[in-house]
Amino acid sequence: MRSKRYIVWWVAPAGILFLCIILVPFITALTFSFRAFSFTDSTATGQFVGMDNYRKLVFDKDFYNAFRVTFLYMVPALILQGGLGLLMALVMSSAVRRARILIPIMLLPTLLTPVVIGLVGTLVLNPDFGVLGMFLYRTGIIKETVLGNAKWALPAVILVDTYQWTPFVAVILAAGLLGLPKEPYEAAEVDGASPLQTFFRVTMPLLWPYFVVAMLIRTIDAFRIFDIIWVMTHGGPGTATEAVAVYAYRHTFRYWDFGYGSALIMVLFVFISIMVEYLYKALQRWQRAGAA
Amino acid sequence: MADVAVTEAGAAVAAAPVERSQRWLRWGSYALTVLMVVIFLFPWLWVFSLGFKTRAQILSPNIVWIWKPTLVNFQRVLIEKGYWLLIVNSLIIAVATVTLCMLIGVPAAYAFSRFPIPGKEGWFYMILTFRMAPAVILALPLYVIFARLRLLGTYVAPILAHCTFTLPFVIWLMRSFFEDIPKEIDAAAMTDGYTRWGAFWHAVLPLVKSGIVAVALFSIIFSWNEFLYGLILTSDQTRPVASQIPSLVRPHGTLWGEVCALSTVASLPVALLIFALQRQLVRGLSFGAVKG
Repeated sequence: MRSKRYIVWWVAPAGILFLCIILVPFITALTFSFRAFSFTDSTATGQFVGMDNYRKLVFDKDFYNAFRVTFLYMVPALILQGGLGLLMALVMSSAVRRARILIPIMLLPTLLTPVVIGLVGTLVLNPDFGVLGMFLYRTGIIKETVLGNAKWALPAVILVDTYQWTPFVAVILAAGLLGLPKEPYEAAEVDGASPLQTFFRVTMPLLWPYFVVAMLIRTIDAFRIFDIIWVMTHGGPGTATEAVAVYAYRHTFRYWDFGYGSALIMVLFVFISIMVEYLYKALQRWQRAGAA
Repeated sequence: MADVAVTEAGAAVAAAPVERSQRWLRWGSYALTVLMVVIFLFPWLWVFSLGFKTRAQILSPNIVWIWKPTLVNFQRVLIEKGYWLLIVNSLIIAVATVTLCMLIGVPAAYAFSRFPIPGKEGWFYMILTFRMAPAVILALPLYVIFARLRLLGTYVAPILAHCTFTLPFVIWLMRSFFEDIPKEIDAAAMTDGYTRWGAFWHAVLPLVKSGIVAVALFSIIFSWNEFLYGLILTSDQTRPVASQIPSLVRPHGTLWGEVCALSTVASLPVALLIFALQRQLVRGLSFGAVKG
């Protein structure tokens, strides 16, 4: 009905911006990944070296360490955030008036700068005057600064990240809980189901699409985490908290090895797009469930 | 309104006949609520208070509960060191980014919702992928591109960089809000004599007003919180506050009072926004799943 020319006017500005700031840089990075490129001279492009950067990647043990750290962080974080988030959502949705006050307070960690959250975490864990840090230090559980300890640095990061993002999960699940239809619950009551049975047989299946979306988002976010780690440990001690994004940063903006860094980025991107495909499908299922 | 009805329904479900086990559950959830408020409020209040303490008071081995608040830290960090400029920079970048992305993103989202566009699903998949990709991926090529264009250190660089995640976010969310508006409304407006643009502007846009506010709010918050682009693409004159805070945290001799003062000032705008606009927040966070 509408001519194609007309539609263009609506999307063109967005399309052009998208092209310039997303597609062009992306393709540029792709070309960089095939070159030996050290950004000491801003006009140089380095020479073409084919798959050298990727080959180097396969043999770099820090690369695998980065993935290991990321998974070591991701799994506990997801379990904590999913479990605690569900618990919090149940509490919030059981008394809506409470939710009105609770939600802004709980959202503070999620919506404040991750840098400040990391700062709060660092302060709380400080052995000299931090609430947790002092407790851990004086009872002898952890004898030095938590963040300087290779064993405890990552759990500290997991803790702070959970603190920041559990409310996010909780709010999504609470919104889901508040929107659930009444009929299944009435039916369950008529059938004489206990609260526990009602929860597992009625609530969970209905809530599942929300749960999947929230968990998928957090999974993908695990590969993005940077700010918190940076302000708390800079990826250290050593490489104990060097998740993939931090690792990529080290090679691009510390070593200025843009060729290698670009190859890293490309691999990361492939990883992320695979996961996003699942997220995309889950979101569509969620939209359909929400509309029902 | 519909979401009031939903919340009433939730309250009704919660007010079901109270058996012994359910009363126990209620007390438990009440206690949990209090616990949650404490956990999510206490760290802020503590860090907030540290900004008002002197160095001696912060580092003292006994927790100073009552003291005379001092503004020394604020004065030193904001005025003497001139960091008030950082806050202004954050504001400039956030407002410019969101204005730009809303102006071109909202019509594009409308077009995606109303017009047949070839490869629509493919576009959305790409939009989502780039929204969820870590900043590091685009940071590298953007750095090179801006360096060559001599735009490093200006406001243009961080603003465009922030658009890389703001524009997809705006288009994604606004499209789902537009999808909630029945196409009959557009048709009715156009039979009344409005052009497509007129229908968009006069008939549809007013209906998604709260959605627009939510999206704009979140976009401002995300831009304000952003760390990586703000760090590498700016100079000391144009750096936003979130990107500067980590460099104030050093392995030894960090001026905690000043860092806390700066963090407090940096967090206050977002905190106030959250409290002032709670309802839009919940809608935006749950992707408009709570119909209303």
